[in-house]
Amino acid sequence: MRKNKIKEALSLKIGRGIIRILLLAWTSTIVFPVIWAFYTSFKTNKEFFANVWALPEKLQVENYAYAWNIAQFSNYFLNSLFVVVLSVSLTLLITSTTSYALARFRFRWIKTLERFYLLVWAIPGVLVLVPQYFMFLNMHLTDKLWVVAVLIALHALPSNIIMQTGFMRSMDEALFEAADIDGATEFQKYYYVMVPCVKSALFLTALTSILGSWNDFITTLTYIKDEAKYTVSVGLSYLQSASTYSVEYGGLFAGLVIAMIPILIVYAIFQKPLQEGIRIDGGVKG
Amino acid sequence: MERKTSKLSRILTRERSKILFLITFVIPTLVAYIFCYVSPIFQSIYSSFFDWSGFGSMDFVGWENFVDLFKDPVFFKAIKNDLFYVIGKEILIVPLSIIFALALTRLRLTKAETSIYRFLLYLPNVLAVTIIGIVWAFIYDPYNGILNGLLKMIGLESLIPANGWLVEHTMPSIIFVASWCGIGYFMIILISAINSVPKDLYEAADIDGAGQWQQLWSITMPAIWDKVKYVVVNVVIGTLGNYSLAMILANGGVDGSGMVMGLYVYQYGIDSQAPRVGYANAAAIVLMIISSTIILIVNKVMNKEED
Repeated sequence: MRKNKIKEALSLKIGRGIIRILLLAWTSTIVFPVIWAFYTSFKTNKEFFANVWALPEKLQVENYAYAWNIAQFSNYFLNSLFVVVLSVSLTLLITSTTSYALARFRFRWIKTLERFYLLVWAIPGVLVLVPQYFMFLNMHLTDKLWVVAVLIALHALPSNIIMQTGFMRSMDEALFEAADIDGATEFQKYYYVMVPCVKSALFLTALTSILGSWNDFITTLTYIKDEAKYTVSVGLSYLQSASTYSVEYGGLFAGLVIAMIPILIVYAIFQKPLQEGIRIDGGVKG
Repeated sequence: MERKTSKLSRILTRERSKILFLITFVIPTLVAYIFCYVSPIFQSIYSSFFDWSGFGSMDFVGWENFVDLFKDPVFFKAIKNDLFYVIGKEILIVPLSIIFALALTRLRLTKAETSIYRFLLYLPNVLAVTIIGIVWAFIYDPYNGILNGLLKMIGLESLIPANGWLVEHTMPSIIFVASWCGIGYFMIILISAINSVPKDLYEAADIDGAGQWQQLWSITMPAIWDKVKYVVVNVVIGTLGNYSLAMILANGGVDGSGMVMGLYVYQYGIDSQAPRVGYANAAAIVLMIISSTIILIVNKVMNKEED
């Protein structure tokens, strides 16, 4: 028995060692590229070609000036910000109101509406993309950032609604009964009772919506052809493809870091609620 | 009598305010959603029977688009690559996300280690696909890429493909990056599944003298099995038709070596000087039929096991 225990402890120790090495190796493939991109953004082109691995000899802060001004990242940044703000606000409004109705109203067809959102959730985006693009093109609604923001918000609508409705259903009925006695309208109950109660869930929706709209690539790439209206994400890929002709790698990586920093900050601050949210999300979908 | 009417009128006002709420928010949202994301589907099905550039006249061609589709070897390559994409991602994501989830819960690493790894492993999930694509394109670069440098350093030069990773091993290179991005998300789901296993089960097993391995196979794995199935199904759903990473890394590759179904549709329908919208829509429909069939099968297989 005792011998077994020692054997077990030993094998556990070895197992733990192997897993530690695996974890270290795997996460280094995550850490290293990020750090590499960061220090490469301070190198000159010459240094880049001499040795892609080496640290810069002198910090080329000019790369950031190049990315920000000449490569128009200041512009891309504002465009991204516009899309994020509009699409996050819209997401919060349309998700919470529809979810409120789905969770609280007792009309017969409300259930049908919920089933509808469940169904359309499963439609693959690629089936819609091409005809949707030409529909908007024929209405002269391409090359408009607000259209991109609206499309991003609507695209995430079904999954957001399903999560949010679940939350709102679990709210205590008594809160609403009290409001009913006071003769509150649905608007008042939504705004003064429901919204404060589900703040944390709304915050989560806002977080995923920030990440989704800041990182969006396909929608913006499809709908925005005017360079001046590119977002950071699309501007970056444009700069990369352009850099095959006029190589300015320091600038490219400076742009990459500019695109990455807001997300890293948001992630570092809100990692906990974000990962907690996946748990809930995964619970609903699973 | 008066009380009764006032009660009735109160109910009526309540109903009215509900209807007003629906008209103000819910109906416009629904209409916008149907307009933007549902009506194009019908347009897609309709136009797949036409020769159409997206503008002007539409010429009815019957099944010709579909026939053309099956004559194109690149389309078959795209289907094959999508299947390969799914299988490759499953092979990497499922075991690794289980191992990492177990490592960060049952292995009792230090608190600092656990939180750092948790932070880092999920990091790729929040980065933009363009950032990931650009960085990995440099890692795979045939001339001065980091991967080749690493292989040279440890004396495995023979493994280096002469024309570059993304040319010679297009799909495996894409699959690795896609899995690298996806593992964190599924790991978090599995971690919470493991954490929700009641602690006294393990305590009881300890008292009974069950070893760690035995506890893993008889307590942890059965408890998280449902979530593992969730991971398997969701990798399939998330991969079929997805093309952003494949587009940024290889944009179809050489002779369709990196062509995936979604990218095929995108290239014919949108990323083209002379778009063939009807043809692209036909491809999208075939794509949807194939992927929903696969998803249904995988779902069925995964749920059959349960009985």
